[in-house]
Amino acid sequence: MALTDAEKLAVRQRHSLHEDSASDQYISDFKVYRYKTDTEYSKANMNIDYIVENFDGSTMGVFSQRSPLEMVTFGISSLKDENNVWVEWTGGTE
Amino acid sequence: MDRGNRIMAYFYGTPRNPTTNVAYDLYYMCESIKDFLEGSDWRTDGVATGAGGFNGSAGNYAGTDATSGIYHTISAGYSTATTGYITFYKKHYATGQTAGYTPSYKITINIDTADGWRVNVYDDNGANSTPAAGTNVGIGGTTNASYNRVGGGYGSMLHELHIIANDTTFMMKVTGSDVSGGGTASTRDHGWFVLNDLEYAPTIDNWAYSIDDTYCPSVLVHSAWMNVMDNPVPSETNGNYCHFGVGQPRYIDHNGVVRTSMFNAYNGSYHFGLDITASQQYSTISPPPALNQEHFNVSGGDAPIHQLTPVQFIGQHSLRLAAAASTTTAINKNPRRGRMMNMYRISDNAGNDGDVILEGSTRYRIVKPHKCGYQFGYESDINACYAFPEANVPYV
Repeated sequence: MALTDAEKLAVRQRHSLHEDSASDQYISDFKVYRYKTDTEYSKANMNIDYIVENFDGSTMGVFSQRSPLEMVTFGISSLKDENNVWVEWTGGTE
Repeated sequence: MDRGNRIMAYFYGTPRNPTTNVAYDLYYMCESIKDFLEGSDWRTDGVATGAGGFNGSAGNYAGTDATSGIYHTISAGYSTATTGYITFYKKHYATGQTAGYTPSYKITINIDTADGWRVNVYDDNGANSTPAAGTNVGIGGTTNASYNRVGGGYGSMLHELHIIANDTTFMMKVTGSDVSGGGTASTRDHGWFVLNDLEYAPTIDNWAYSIDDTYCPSVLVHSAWMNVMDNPVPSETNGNYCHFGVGQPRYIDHNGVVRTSMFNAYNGSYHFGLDITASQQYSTISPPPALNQEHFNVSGGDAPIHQLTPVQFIGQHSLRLAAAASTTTAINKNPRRGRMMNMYRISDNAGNDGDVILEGSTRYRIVKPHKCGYQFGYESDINACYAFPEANVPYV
């Protein structure tokens, strides 16, 4: 299952990502993760050093949001996430 | 002498090697900035008295201390001999004035051959980068093309650097070129970065911080103006040779949801305060950057007099009819307005970077970051100037 165009646009708008594909700052390929339901929120699980090993700002990015508790990543193939609280969201109902 | 992260408010540095390329110059410069932010006299440290980095004996270190702990967790390093970086956190000046209220941002300065000097601001988790998503975008914040790049992979490509670091403001003005020698008057590029705290509004800010603790009421201003700021022939015909952006990196929108601010610095138009189009929506400041500001020729006094006008922030908005089509920026409007503490617009052409003006005995350092006097930045031809107090102004 993949995100629909409408879901991708909604993600862009929630996280203030550029919508215009002609923009130099347009991010064409991203992944969306959501905080596991019924899991207690912890600020530590939002920290960049918790989320990814050796964050490189020139190739990687993380944008996070609280409502829904969600983050968008680019340039990151897999998360570190040792507490296993982040689940990739592929669209549809959670 | 380390005074526990207490810093002097003003830094001025020039490269020790202004015409020759020397390895690790940029790393040594970052170490000097780190020394400055940690409260030691950077001019006498080994990285500024040796063969590279900043020329300590030609530098300046002035003003008074910021409050202890405002700047913290400061680190510098490099990945190759032609790169350097420094990372630190800056707390909002009102941190702790209400129990549990401790907003801050993480700031990273990167320097290298490909992209010159540039700055990214992250929330205190290290996520949600602004003004650009990646660190490989010049200080102008639009692309990694050369017309965003100020300076390059060696210290010799830097002309000079000015920093103000006090309780409310981190301001960096960098001038340089992408060639050895730091550029000439007609090729030198000017980059500007400010992270400036808004006046604390407890009812709003405490509520906003309770919604999301990455919220911080500080405003990012950045610009890059290529070729013209030192140039007696002032206008630049290339539309993409200037950039100007404004935004509150993390804010609570009008529906009560935390957001990351949108920046569109291209052409120096969208945030310039006079881009009167149906889609005007980006954050800006007042006085509008595009407007020019004359001085007063006060008779019998120290004419010209430069009025210190406090700068105000205007969060991203939506200049459109309610039924008009929406974009991310317009949907996520930021109601926050407010005074940008210790940041003043003054008369155009008031001086050069680092010059001092006086109000009584209070010293203010001037910078000239962008052109003004016309709707579009790339066609403007008057130097806009801003002033910041040299000494710290504590608020308790």
